Amino acid sequence: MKSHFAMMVVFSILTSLVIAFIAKNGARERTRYFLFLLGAFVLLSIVAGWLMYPFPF
Amino acid sequence: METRPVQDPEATGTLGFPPVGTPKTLAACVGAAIVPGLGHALLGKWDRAAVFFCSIGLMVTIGIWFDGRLWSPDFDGIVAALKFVAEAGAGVFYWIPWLQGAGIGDPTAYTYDYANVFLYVAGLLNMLVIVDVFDIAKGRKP
Repeated sequence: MKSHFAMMVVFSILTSLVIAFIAKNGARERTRYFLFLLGAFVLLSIVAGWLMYPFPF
Repeated sequence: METRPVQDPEATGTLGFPPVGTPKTLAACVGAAIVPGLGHALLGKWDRAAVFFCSIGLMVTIGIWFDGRLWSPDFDGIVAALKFVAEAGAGVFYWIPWLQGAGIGDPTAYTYDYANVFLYVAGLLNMLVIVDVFDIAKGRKP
């Protein structure tokens, strides 16, 4: 797996899963929080990547 | 009319969930530090135990598989020491591969940086899991 995006998604899934199980109780709440965290991880990573794109280092 | 004092959950340290005794609290926290998920299993929280064990174990496996480095406890500098502490938080998932000589790390590998992040975060997440075990044992959450 040489795709940074794929690794970022795998990392986001596993991290979001653990945090959702720590922070919330009940399947419905956990699922919603997991999806929220996963979306936030992926979207903010892409945004951060584009913001850093013009940097020369 | 007789009145009874209302117990303040914050004052008693519990939020209405049954706390367990100090020996079991200690055993659960130490168990969680050694094996991710074991503390929750000792408290009967099997769903959380399975998720934490599998997720943290998978993160360490991916980290080593993609040429990440397991930092040794040699404390050459503050950064190396912090990296070791972060990774060692994963308990046996750090110590078993480290004792077997795995996780040498290849800085020239394409995935080296990402793999290291997997290893650091696996250990740091297990530290959060230990705090969660303590909260459950003290009756602060279900």
